[in-house]
Amino acid sequence: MTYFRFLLLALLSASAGCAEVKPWQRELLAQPKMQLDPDPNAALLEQHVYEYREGSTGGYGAGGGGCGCN
Amino acid sequence: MRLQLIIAGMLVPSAARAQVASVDVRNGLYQDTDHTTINTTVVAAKASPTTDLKVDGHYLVDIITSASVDVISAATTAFHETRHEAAGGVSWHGLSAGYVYSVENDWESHTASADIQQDFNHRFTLSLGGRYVANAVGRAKDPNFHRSLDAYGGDVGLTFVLSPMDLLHLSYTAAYLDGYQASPYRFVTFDKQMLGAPETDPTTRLRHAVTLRWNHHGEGDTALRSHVRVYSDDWGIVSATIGTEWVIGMGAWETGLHVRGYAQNGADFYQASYTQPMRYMTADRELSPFIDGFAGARLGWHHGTASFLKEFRFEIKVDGFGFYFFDFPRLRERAGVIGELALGVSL
Repeated sequence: MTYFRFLLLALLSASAGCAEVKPWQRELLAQPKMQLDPDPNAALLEQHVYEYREGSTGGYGAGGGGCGCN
Repeated sequence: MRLQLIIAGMLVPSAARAQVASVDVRNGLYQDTDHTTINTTVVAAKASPTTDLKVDGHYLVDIITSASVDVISAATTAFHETRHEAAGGVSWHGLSAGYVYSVENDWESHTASADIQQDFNHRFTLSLGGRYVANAVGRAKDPNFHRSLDAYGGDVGLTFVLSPMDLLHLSYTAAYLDGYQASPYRFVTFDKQMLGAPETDPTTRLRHAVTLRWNHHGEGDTALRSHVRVYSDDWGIVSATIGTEWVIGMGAWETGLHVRGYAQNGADFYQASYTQPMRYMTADRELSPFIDGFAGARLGWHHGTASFLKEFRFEIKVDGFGFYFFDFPRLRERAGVIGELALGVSL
C-alpha cells in the first residue's frame, strides 16, 4: 500500500504542475538527448550489468531474456 | 524503446520520419577484480515499413570467463561459457509486442511481452505492459538436473511534459516469480567451514519497483537526465538507486558524464554462515547487504549525408565501478571497468 500511496501522490503532484506545452514549444524535448531511452542497445547492456550483480531489478523498461546467472 | 518511439512520434510530426531503417553494433568488455571477464556484442536493427508500423530485433552474445569466489567455493575450476539471445518486436499505433529467446549451456528462457501506449491531449502518455518469462534451469555436466522458473510481470508508466524543457516519467513495475531461484553451483557454509549444503531459496518472490525519471534541457545544448528508484520484495530486500547524466552537445559531437549509486539490505534468510540447517538458506552475495557505485563518461559522434546512407555514428564509453559487501566475508570489495564501442548507420 505504501507504494500505491507514493505513486498516487507523485501522480497528483505531477498532474497539478503539468501545464499544456504546445507542439511548437517541443523542439528541445524532441532532441535525442531528451528521450527516456535514446540508445536502446546501450540501455540493454547497462541494465544487464546491474541485473546480474544487484538483488533488485525492474523499473527501467528494459526487460526480457533469461538472467542466466546461476 | 517502444515508449521512446511513441514520444518521438508525438513530438516530431514529419521531418524525422524520413529515417526508415538503421543497424547498430555495440561491443562491451567487462572486467572485475573477482576474476570475471564478460565480452558482450549486440547487433540490432529496426525499420519503419510504414509511418505507423515499426519492427526491430537484435542478436546478443555474452562470452563469460570467470574464476570468481562463487566458482571456487563450489569446488570447481574457472568456467567459460557463451550465452546467445535473439529478440524481435513490432509496434503499430501504440500497440507493441515482443519476444526474446535466450540460451546457454545451463539456462534457456522464452520471454513474451505486450505493451500499449496512449497519449492524452499531448499532456501525458500512459503506458501499460505485461510480460511472461519461462525459464528452464539446468546444471553443467548433470543431464538429470531440470528445474523451471516462471516470471509474470506488469508495469504502468506515465510520462508528463512538464514544460518546454522538462520531461517526467513515473513507473511502477511488479513481478511475480515462481520456481527454482537458487543456484545449483552455490553452497551455504555451516560454522564457516568451506562446504555445506545446497542453497534452498524460496520458490516464490514478489517484487515491486517505483522509478521516477526526469530529463531537463539546460542552458545551451545540454541536458540533465536523472532517475531514482525504490524497490522491495517479499524476501525482505529493500533497495534505493539514484543516478544522473549530464549530456553536452557540441555540434556533431556529444559527451555524457554519468554517476549512479545503489544500496540494499540483505534478504531475511541471508546469513554469511549458518549455525544449523534452515528452511531457506543462500550463499548469494546479491542477497547480502551491500552498496555499489558506477561513474563514467561517453563520447559520441554522428554525421549526416545526402546519400542513401543517411547517417553514420559511433560512440565510446568507459565506466568504473566498486562494490562493498558488508556481510560477505569471502569477498568484501569488488571493483572493475566496463568499456563499450558502438557503430551505427541509418538508411
